[in-house]
Amino acid sequence: MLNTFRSAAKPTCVLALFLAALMLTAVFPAAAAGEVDCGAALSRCLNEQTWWQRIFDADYCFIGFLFCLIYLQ
Amino acid sequence: MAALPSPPINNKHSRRAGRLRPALLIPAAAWLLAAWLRADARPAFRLEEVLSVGGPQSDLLSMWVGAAVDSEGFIYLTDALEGTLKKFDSNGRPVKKAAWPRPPNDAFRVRRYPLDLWDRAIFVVVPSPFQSSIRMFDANLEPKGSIVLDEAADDLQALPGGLLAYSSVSLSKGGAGRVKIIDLAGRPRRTIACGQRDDPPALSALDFRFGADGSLYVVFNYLDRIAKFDGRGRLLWARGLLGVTRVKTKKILFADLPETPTFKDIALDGRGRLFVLGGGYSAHRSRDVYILDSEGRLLGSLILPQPSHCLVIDGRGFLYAREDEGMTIKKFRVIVQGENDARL
Repeated sequence: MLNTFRSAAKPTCVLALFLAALMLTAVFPAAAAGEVDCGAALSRCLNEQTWWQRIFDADYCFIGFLFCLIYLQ
Repeated sequence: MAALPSPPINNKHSRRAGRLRPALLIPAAAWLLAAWLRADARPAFRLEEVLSVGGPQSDLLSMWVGAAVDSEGFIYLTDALEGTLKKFDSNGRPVKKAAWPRPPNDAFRVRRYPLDLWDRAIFVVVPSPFQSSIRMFDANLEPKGSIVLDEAADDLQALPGGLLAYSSVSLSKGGAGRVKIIDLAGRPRRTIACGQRDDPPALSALDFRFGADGSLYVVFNYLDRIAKFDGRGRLLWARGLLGVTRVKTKKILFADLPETPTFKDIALDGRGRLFVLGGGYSAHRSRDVYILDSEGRLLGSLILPQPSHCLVIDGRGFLYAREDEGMTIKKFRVIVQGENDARL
C-alpha cells in the first residue's frame, strides 16, 4: 500500500516542481524584459505540452519562441 | 597712456601656434575631404511605394509571414494566423487561397511558414510538433503532396534542378546553424555547416539565400554575423555590422535564449547585392536595411517605413516588406541615386 502511494505521488510531485520552476524561470523574466507576448507564449506552449512532447520534442516551444522574437518584435 | 607691451612669452607662443596651425589644418582638411569623397562615393538608396495589399481596414491579410513572387508578378503569401497560402495578382487583387490543418493548441499562434517557388510550384514549410513538412502546391494552389522533415526548418529556398534548401533550427549542438539541401522526394543531398564550433545552438538560427553563381549568403538571426560560402560550402568571408560582440540572453529552463534578433532576413537583388534587415540592435528597430556588395562591403542603407520581419526581392528588383504588423504587404521600387541606371 505504501509502495503504491509512493509510486503514484512521484509523478505528481515532479509535475508540481516542474510547473513551479516554469513559472519562476519562464514567465517572470520574460515579462520583466518587456517581451510579454513571446515569453507568455513560451510559458503557454510549455504548459500545453504533454509529458511525452516535452521529452521527445523539447525544442518545439523554444523554437517557437525564437520565431516569435523575429515576428512580433 | 602708453600701451603696455605684451609679454614676450605670449608672442613666442602665438608665433609657434601660427606656424603649427597650417601643419595641423592641412592634414585635417585632407582627411575631411577624403571622408566626404568616401561618403559621396556610396550610392544613396531610397524606396518608392508602388503597391499596397491588405491593411487594418481590410480582411485580406491577418498576419502574413512568408512571401514569394513569380515571374508574372503573382504574389504568394502565407498567413500565420489563418494557416493559409494566398495568391494575389500583380495589382494586389486576391485570386485564391489554400489552407492546411494547424497544430492544435499552438500557444504561439504565430508559426513561420516560409515559402518559395520554382517552375510554377510553390513550397511551404509547415511546422508542427514532432514532424515539420514542406507542402507542395501548383500555381492554382492545388496541393501536390508534402515532404516530411525530421527537424524544424526555418528559411526555405527552391533551387534549380528540383532541389530545396532549408535552414535547420535546433537547440542541440549538432542540428543548429546548417543549411540542408534535399530533393523533392525528401532525400538529403548536401549539408552546409554555417556556424562556428563554439556558437551556442540557440543563437545559431539563420536565414540564407543562394546566389545565381551557387554562392551561399547567410545572416544569423541572433549573432552579429553575415557570411558568404562558396558552392562547396567553404567560408569566403564573414563580417559583423552592428558592433555587437555578445548578444543579450536569458536563461529559461535549460536554455540560454536571446532577447532580441540581430538580423531578421536577407534578400539578394539581380545585381548580386545583399539586402539585410536589421533587428533590435539597429538604430531603427526592424526597419534598417543594410545593403552590401557580394564581397561584404557596406554600400549603404535604407529605412523601411514600418517594422518588418522579412524582405523579399522579386525577379524585377521590387522589394516587399511588412506593414501594420502583417496586415499589409508593401511593394517598393528601390531607387539608387548615383548610378547610371537609377532604378533597379
